[in-house]
Amino acid sequence: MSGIDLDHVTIRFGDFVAVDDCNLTIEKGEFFSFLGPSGCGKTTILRAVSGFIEPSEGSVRIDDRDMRGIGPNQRPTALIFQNLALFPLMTVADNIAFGLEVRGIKYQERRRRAEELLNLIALPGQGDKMVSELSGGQRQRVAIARALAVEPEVLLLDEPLSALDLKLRQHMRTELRAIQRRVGITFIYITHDQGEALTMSDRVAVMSDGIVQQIDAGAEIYNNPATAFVASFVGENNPFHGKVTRAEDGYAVVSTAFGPLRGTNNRGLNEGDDAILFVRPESLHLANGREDVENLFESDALKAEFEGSFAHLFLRGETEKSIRLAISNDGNVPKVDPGERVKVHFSADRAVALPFGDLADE
Amino acid sequence: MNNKTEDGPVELAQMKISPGMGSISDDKPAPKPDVPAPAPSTGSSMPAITPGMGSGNTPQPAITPKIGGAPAAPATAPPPASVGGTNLNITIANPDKLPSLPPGSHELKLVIEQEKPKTDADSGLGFWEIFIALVAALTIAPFAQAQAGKWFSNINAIDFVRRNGIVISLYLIVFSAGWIIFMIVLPQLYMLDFSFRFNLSPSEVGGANDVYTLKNYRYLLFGRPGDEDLLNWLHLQVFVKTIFASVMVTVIDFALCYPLAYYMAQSVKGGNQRLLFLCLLLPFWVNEILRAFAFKLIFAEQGILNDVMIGIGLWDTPFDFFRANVALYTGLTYAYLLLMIFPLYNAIESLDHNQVEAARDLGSPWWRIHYRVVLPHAKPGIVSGCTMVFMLSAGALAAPNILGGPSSLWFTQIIYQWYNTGGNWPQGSAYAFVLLIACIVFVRIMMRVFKVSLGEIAQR
Repeated sequence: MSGIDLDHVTIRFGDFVAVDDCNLTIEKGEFFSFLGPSGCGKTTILRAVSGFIEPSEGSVRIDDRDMRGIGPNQRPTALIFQNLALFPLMTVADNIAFGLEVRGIKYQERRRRAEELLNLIALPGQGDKMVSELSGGQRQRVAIARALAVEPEVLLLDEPLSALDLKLRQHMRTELRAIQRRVGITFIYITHDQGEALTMSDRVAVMSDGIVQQIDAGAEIYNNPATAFVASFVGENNPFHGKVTRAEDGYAVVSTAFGPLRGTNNRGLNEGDDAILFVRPESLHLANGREDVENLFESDALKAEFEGSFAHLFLRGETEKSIRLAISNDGNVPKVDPGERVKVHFSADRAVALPFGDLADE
Repeated sequence: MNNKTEDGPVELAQMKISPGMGSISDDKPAPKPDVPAPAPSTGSSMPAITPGMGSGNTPQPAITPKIGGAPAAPATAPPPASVGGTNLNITIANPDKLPSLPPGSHELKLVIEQEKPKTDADSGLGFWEIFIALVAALTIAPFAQAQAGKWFSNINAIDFVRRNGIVISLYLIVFSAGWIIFMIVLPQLYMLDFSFRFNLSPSEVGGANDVYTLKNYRYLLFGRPGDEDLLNWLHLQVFVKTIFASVMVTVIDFALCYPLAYYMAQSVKGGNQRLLFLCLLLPFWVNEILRAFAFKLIFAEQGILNDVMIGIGLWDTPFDFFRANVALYTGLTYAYLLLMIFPLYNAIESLDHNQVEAARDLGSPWWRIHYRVVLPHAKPGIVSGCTMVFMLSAGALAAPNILGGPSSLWFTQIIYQWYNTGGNWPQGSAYAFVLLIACIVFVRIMMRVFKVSLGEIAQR
């Protein structure tokens, strides 16, 4: 009982490599997300799993069955499109039951199944409406019901929430996760929204330029990114470029524009390597006059923004990009004026030294 | 003129007096020197021939382009002296109907039409009219100027004008009104009116005989009164055949165009799509007649197609493509191909390809995707294309004329003959109107069957 195996999958369009040697296994019943900026190849992988594209090299296996040569209409997958692609000329019930109609199931039975699914998505008795009469979130759920109607082993979702407004999107996240728990099948979810990926998924694969950068649980990806891209793409991060001057005991010292700074070294950096040290805004703290702390450096304050639970402080960075501090609002946020010289520090355990690599575009 | 008659008055001819005509054409010796001799004129001596006329028709004398139905007013030919400077030109349609008259004096009856001499007053504007118009315009102008500001603000108060500006709105209104009234409504109304009238000679128009009649429509159904058959089978058959053949042409066009339109709209992109469009469009730069004659060459007995087929041994005697209507169908199908492709393409192109993929992903075989997703979406385009192809096929003239078989007749050809060789415009109008109404009714029925509204067609 294994789920989906991507075995050395490479997909090329002409000279363009959309997916480069992707190897991963998705467990049965897992909520798995592909996260990456647009054009990173995540949708291509999804289409390869659903059968609309054949990999140029490697193989896609579902339940240990090689899917090569099996069309999308014969795979045990169901795809939910970014724009949902509901059939506007059919009623809601006909939409949901379309897959059953294809399978030659009688009208009465189709009706019954559609009503069951309408109950599952909390739209009971709305089967005779036209799709255009539904709201965005309702259509979303109809699309899910239509895909679930064919009882797929894998549900593939291609950024299905991107068209919704923020409130609805957040609501649908919880809803999707709940539906997945209820039906218990594998969900593969494509998104460029890290919030969606991190909140819903059991595991996330971060992709960039056709390459899978890291596959891990959300917290692991956030706290322990594997590459510079992941570190800069997932969440806010402050990069400090430099050379490794010392590497020992799982820590590395990087000589940056702000002096030598120390962080964890999980990627085997050696002395002399080009590296980037990443420190999250919430891991940076104002020194408040303390001198006995590690990783202490100073810079000019550029501006301060108060956001409620956090106050953001921007310091002059090594490049045009400023260093960002998130100061938790414990009722006592220190006031910093622009132009003021401030000292900040961070714990070496909360900083990650990674091999030099491309950062995600802001 | 007081000579004794032997056989009663003989209606000889209608006479037209028109100023400035040539001298009396006089080929035959006149029965009586007093009376200008009836002379057969080669131009109009044939009775109006229409291929569709029933077998029981007796040839009627046709004198001048109109078949006279007016009672013959007894008239004596004016003595030569009274003719004066006016020349008489008498033509007789059926000289053989004239009784051979023995020598002697006879009373001849002539129907005389006199064309109104044109007066100068009718011919354009004279000095005084222009002068008066100018004076009037100059008198009104100051008042108009004083009122202009008010008019302007009144016009501007109309929402439509405010949105589009005065020039554009004026253009839109004048153009669309002009289009609808002068290009569509008036000609059709005129033809409708025409179809209910007798075929009168110009002098009788507006006279006592100018009354409405159903005879032109009756003729299509029953033929001439006194025919052997009850119904005018020949014309009715041609009518039904034309409608049926147009339906067939429409169906063939749809069958040919749908896959192509789908391919162009959903499958092929970029350069190849443009190439396909060019391939479709370029042949239509060749005019219709040329294309039809090219088909005639290809389908001829010694044409390329027969040569090739005989050459590769598919058949050994030349096949008559014209008799089998293959040439006609091909020509018509080809002529209206684009009118089917483009509405279809437009309709299918607007279909979100994800819907096709979604249907496929849900397990649908290709035919069900078309039946359940693509066809319903493209329905307005399909109806629009089919309507155009059907209407134009039913109204086609060139292709049936050139490519039609010896035995096949298109209804438009009959209409054309009524207008042209038959010289019977009211009859032609009636036929044309029947065709128009039949086509509209047929299309509306089809729209009802396929549940498409006119508005949906207009969207495409």
